[in-house]
This record gives sequence, structure tokens and C-alpha cells, in this order.
Amino acid sequence: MGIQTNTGENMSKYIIETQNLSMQFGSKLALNNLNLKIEAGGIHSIVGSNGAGKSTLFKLLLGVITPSVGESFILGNNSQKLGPKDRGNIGFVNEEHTLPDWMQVAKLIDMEKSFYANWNDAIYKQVIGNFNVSHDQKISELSRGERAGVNLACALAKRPQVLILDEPTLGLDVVAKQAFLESLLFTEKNDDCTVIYCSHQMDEIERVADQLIVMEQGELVNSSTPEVFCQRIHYWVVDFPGKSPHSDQIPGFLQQRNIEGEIHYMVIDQDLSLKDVFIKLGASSAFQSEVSLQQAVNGFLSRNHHKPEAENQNV
Amino acid sequence: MFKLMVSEWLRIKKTVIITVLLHLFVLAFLIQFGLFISYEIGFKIVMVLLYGSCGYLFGITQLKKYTQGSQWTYFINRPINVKKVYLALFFTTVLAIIIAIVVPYLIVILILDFWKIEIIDWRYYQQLSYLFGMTLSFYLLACFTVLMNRKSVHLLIMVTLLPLISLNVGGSVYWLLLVVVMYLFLMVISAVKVNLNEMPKGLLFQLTTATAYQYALYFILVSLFFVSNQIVSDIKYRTSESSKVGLLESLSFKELTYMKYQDALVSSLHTKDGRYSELIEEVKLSDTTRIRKRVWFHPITQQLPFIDENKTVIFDADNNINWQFSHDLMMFIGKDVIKKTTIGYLGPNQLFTQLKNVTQEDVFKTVPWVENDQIVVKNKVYQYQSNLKSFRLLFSTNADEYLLNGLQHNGSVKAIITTKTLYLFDSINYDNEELPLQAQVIMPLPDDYNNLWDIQITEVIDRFILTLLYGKSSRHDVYDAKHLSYEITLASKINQLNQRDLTQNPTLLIKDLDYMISPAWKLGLEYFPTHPARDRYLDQRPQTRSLSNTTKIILIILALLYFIITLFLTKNREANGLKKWSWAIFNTVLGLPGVFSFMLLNPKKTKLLNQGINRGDNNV
Repeated sequence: MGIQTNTGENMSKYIIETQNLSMQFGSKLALNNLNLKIEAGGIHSIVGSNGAGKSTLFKLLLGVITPSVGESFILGNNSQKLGPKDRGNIGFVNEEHTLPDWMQVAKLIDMEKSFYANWNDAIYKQVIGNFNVSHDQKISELSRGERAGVNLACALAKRPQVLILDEPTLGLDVVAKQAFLESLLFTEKNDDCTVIYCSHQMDEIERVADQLIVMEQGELVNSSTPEVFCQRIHYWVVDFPGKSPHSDQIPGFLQQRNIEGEIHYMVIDQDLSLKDVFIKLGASSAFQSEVSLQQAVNGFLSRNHHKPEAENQNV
Repeated sequence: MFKLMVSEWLRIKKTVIITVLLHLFVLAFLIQFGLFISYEIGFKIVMVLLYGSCGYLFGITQLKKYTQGSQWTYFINRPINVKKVYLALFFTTVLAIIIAIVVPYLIVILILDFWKIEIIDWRYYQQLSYLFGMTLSFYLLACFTVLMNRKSVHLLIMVTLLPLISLNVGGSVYWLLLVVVMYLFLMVISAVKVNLNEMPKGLLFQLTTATAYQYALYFILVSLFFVSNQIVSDIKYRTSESSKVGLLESLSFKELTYMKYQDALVSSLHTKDGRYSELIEEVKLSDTTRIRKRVWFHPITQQLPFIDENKTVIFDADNNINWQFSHDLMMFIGKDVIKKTTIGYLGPNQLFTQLKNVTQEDVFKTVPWVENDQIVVKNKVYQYQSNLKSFRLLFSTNADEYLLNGLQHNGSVKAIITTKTLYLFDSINYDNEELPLQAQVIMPLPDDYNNLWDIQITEVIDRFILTLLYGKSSRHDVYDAKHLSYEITLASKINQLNQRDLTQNPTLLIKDLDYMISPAWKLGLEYFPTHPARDRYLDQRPQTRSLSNTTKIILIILALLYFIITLFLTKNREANGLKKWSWAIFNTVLGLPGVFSFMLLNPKKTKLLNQGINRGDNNV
């Protein structure tokens, strides 16, 4: 079923959907024909290296920029036609934790409350309780962690249907990061609240993500649960007495490293039969091991970046 | 929305307080150095521009603050229309302008008025609305500049400057300013949208912005062409041989304006048969006097103090009295400059020490124009007498004509020009104080006074020789420049001697350039209805000339050209169907400003990289 109107009729089962979405800035292609579908509910993590197009995607979803080609939909509405009511159902927290610096926390909350009929004071208090924030404090005087707390508390108290968090823990210390993640995970949200969580911190992703979306150079390269993604990627330690084979000869090759005379391969979508391939290529031994999400994502994203380097290591 | 206003007020309150203090300090400084009630129009215009700059600077910093980076996303991503978000900023700014600009100014004029430190007329209170409006219009322009994020928007400063360059429209300047503020407000509100990178598509935006762009472009293009032509022409005539040695047969209006007065008069007597050669020799042995119009428009009651008033002040050095005209009283108020006390109130007839004795008959009916020791009102010329501390009537004209200068003293020649007549007086009557003066010669002006450049008079043995030069140097010429010469006998008989038709701005390109740039704008501005308060102008509306056939053919060719250029430009712009054809058709009459505004409002399409299109699903 497609997305029809901004009135909510015939709304898709997807809370976010992009159709052939491309975004070009001058000669740079930030998003390349992106077809993304995110179902309602849960925490969906978007990962990707710098310049993968994550922030551009958020700007397009919020209708702040116009796509060069294609369309994007959020809550069943075309992002370019979002009305005030739609915006009221979308929460957005960015890495800078933008807030009106000149206001006191109490005045800010007073202002925010006036806009949202569904404002939930209990949620606000629950979240803000995890951060050491006084209501009399001026926002410009808050630490980065405290700002993040106020921002998250406001975002959750508004009870949005979609909450977009764009690298919200960037630059936070360990304590603040912990408080932030716990608030996000354990605060009672709307049952149908969908969280889009973008981060470079794989430990956070591992902890919070129900779904993993991987983007690379403006393209969608994976959309699955973190477990499924991890299951696709394996680590092989191979001993080649002679010259190691060219990476093209390794099926599903992602990355290789030469460590203490052994070659460590990372491969995708290969089963145990890969061992036979290694033996045929001259390996004296080959062992498979599991990978963490961080290793899987890193290996996956570095497959293009490290290829020439990896080749050189074997020469 | 109110909460957003409170938020914005919290942000700017310190700036507003600092501005109030700074403003009071500047005003106190101006009062201290006698500049607050200044008659220098240049100074006043600088002051208006200063207020405007404050509004502009505030608008730029305010909107930049909200539209930069993540701030914009933060502010617009809430259940309130984005236009209301802007309105919250706008209304807070209106409040800030009132507090920072209007209130300090009001306090200052109240103090000056209450303690009678200066003569503060009602118009000084009215001026507050002008300052407020100008500051607000510059603020709105700044908002539009940030919202559009395009360099071309700076051209629209011409719209905000309109109420400043049109000061001479008198009372209607307030209406003009109101229209400009409302117009800019519509432009800004139609440009406010979530996506600031995209050109707004609404009809209101397209109409208001396209019109504003075109007005600015038409004004700039026409001015550029004519100013450059004027400069080239000035250089040419200033350096030409005729102006150095006197090419007396010249038929060029422009050359004649650069000639010495006597040469110009001699030139007017040139005929092919040389019948005035003896008279020319006589003229060459005599002194020639020049008479010009001095009053271009009469002041109007309670006009904006920023308008050039030609100093409605007379300083009586003998008695140390400063007589300053009050628009409220329509009399001169005399102040002893040493004792700082009020001497009395001077009307056209007599001096009053008490206002209670003044009747409506004792005050000036119109605001006078001060020319040296003379007071010129529409039909009467008075002269101040320091010994009597009163005015005496020098001359009064018929009711249906306006004075264009006071009494001109040039040797034995005493003259006055009105909109209809040239009056010449006998010096003896003046010297003997036989007042009011009776004109010795009454010569009806042979042509429209608007087109009168100057008059040269020479007294030869038994008569006066007089030359009238008609034509204008500005671009709104009536293009019938001519040189007329007369003799006035001792019996006050006037005989025409010669008439020479002069050439003026000969090329069609210069003559009809404004039609060629944009026929619609030329005619639109020409026939724009005038406000009744335009009575300040003595000049009549420019007469529309009939165009030559050559010009008409050029205009048809240009219309086709503008049509084709617009169609060609639509190729790589987002203008299809109705929009494309509307622009192309309208640009046949809107001309060059139409073409430029089409380009500015319809940016080129971005060329898409091939890799971005139709590559199918990339999911792994």
C-alpha cells in the first residue's frame, strides 16, 4: 500500500519511507537513490561513516531541504508538506542539543508545554531526574550533558510518534551518556513511538537498537536487526605458508589484516564451506570466529576504504 | 505564539536597553551641539539612514540567529505554523523599535517642548511615525534578505529608500511609507517557510517580489543609462571649444547652459541675415544679468521636518533676535539669543507680544519661504525690517499665480518671476521705499514655466534686451527647447526680436530610453495617481510625448526580443506551462526589468549527476 496524502488517509505501515530519494549539493551526491522503509515502533539505528548522508536524510525527512529527486514520507505525510500538527508528532534532538541559550530551564519548559497538548510532566520529571539540572539555571550555563538531558526530557515529554536522535551522545562524558541512554531506554514512551537513533558509537547501538540501518555514500547498504547483520559477517584466521591469495579470490571478502604471520579475513554471507576454499588456495589452517556488532559494522564499512591497503600487506 | 514572543524578548532585552541609552546619549549630543533642529537636509537624511541601518542590522542578526544551522530546525519543528513563529519575532521587534527608537525620541521632544528649549511643532511628533516606519521597513528588508539568502535581494533597498527619496511629496510621504511597510511585510510573510533553500512558489510571493524587483531594476537601469549619458555629455560640453571661446551660433540647449550669460544673450540675437549685429555690439559693451527660478516647491503646513525648508529662520543681528517659523502658530517666534527669552510673535502684519491678541487674520496663511531678508509666500513677498521688528510687503501678485522667487536685485534690474509672469521694477521706486512695488513691465511668460531654464537681461542705451531660455537638463524634458529674445522700450513696450529652436538630447536612444527599457513601468509610473498632498510641487505632471514611428518600431522589435529571451531562459529553469507563457507575454511590456526579475525569481535547475538517477534498490 502506498502513501497517499498528508491527511493521514491510507497511511502506510511504514513510519518513514523514502522513494528513489537523491540529494545533490553542487557536485556532491549526499543521498543516492535511497529507498528506505522503517516500520512503526522500536529503536532503529542508522549508522554510517561521515558523509554517508544521515544528517541530510533527517533534514529531508523534516522538510528543511528539498530533494533533488524522489520523495520522502514521515508519519505517512510527504516531508515537503508537513503541517504544524504533523510536526507536533515529530521529536528531534540533534548533536548540538540546540536550545534557546538565553532562557532559564523553567521558562523553556513553560514555553514548550504551551505548544504541546500531550505534554507529559511525569515523563519530563522522570528524565530530568537522571540529570543534575536545576530549573533556575540558565540554559547557557548548563553543561553539555545537562543540555542533552533537558533536550531529551523535552523531546520525550512531548510524546511524539517519531523521535529522531541525531548523534545525541556526541561529546558527552561517560556518566551523562549512561544517563541519556537509560532515560531513552527506560522511560515510558508512547507504545507506538518510533525512535530513529543515529550514532557512531557502536556500543550504544548494540545496546539500544532493534533495527540496524547502514548507510554508505548516500546509499542504503543494510536494513536488518543487529543480530541478523552480525550473523552475516564472519571472521576467519587463516595461515598461508606461502603467498596469500588475492582478495578477489576470497568469496564475500570485506577486509583482511596480517597479524603475526596469519591472515585475518572478514567476510560476508559465507558459511563454513569457505574453509575448503582457503585450503584450496593453499592455507594450512583456517578457523572461523564470531564478530561483535562494532567489528561487523567497521569491517563492513571499511571494505572499500581498506582494500588497497590490505592488498599491499600481502605483497 | 505569545510564549515565543516572551522568549524573543528575553533574548533581546539587554540589546534594547543598551540601544535606549545609546540613543538618548546621541540625541543629547545633537541637542548640545544645536544639531537636533538642523536645517541641513543632508544631515537629516543621514540620521534617517542611521535609524534605518539600526533596523537593518537588527533584522540581519535576529534572522541569522534563528536560521543558522540547527536553530531553524529547532524552532520550526513544533506544532505551530512557521509564519506564526516569524510573527512572534516580528511583533517583538515592533515592540523593541518602539522602546528603543520612538520612546527616547519622544522623551527628548517632550522635554524640548515643555521647557521651550526649541520650537517643537506638531510635525516633530508626527516625525516619530516616520522614523518608526523607516526603521521597520529596513528591518523587514533585512528579514527578507536572510529568508531569501540571495545577493540580488539587496537591489530591493530601492523600495525602502522610496519614502526617503520621495520626501518632497509632502504629507503623502506617510502614506507612501505605510504602503512600503505593508508591502515589505507581505513580501516577508510570503517568503517565510520551513525550507529556506527553496524559492517560495506562492502567487503572493511571486507578485509582490516580482513587482519590487522590477521597480528596483527599472529605477536602477534608467538612472544608470541617464547618469552615464549626463556625465559623458557634461564632459563633452565642458571641454568643447564652444564653451571656451563662445560658439555663439550654437543651437544646442546644452551648450547654451554652459555659456556665459552675456554670450547666451548674444547667441539669442543671431540671425542668418545678421540684422541684430549692431545690437549685439551694444550688448557686448553692457553688463548682463541672469534671473532664475529659486522656489521649486512651496513648503506645506506641518511638513516633515526632514524636508528641505530653506531655513525658515531669520536672524536679526542688530537686535540679536532669532525669528523661527512655527507651523503650529503659522507665525515667526522671536527669541533673544542672549537672554534666551521670547520677544514676541511676528505675523505678516505686525508683532505681537501676547498670543492671546492674535487672530486668524494675523497669521501666515501658508508656510513662508525665506530668501535672505525676504519672506516669500505663494502670492506675496515681504521684507523684514530690524528697526521695527516687523515685515513690510514688497509686492503681491494675482491670486492665480505663484511666486518662483523673491525680488531679484541685479544692478538696475529688479525682477520677480511667477508661474505666469515676469515682473520688472524700477529701482528708484524700491530705493525710495514706494511700497508695495508697482511693476514697470509686466511680461506674460511666453511658454510653460516648468520648462523655463533662465532669463538674461541687459540694459543698453535706450532699452532692455531680454532673453528667455527654455528647456531642461533633466531626462523628463518636454523637448521643445528654444531661445526667445525681446526688447523692452522705455515706454515699457515689449517687442519680440528673435526665436531660435534649439536641439536637445537628439538621439532616440536617450530620448525614449525609459520606454525601451520598460514601456509598462514608464507609463505606469507616469500615470500613477497623485496624492492630494502633492500640492507641495509647483511642477505640473510631465506631459507625455507622442512617440515617433521609429521609436514605435524599435519598441515592437524589443517586445519580441524580450518575449524570445524569456522563452529561451525558461529552458533550464523551473517554469513550465502557464508560468512560462505568462512570464514571456508579460515581459513583452515589462521589458528588461521583467526579464531580469524572471531570472532572479526562477533560478537555474541543478544539473543532476548521472549516478543519482534510476539505479534501483541498493539494499544489500
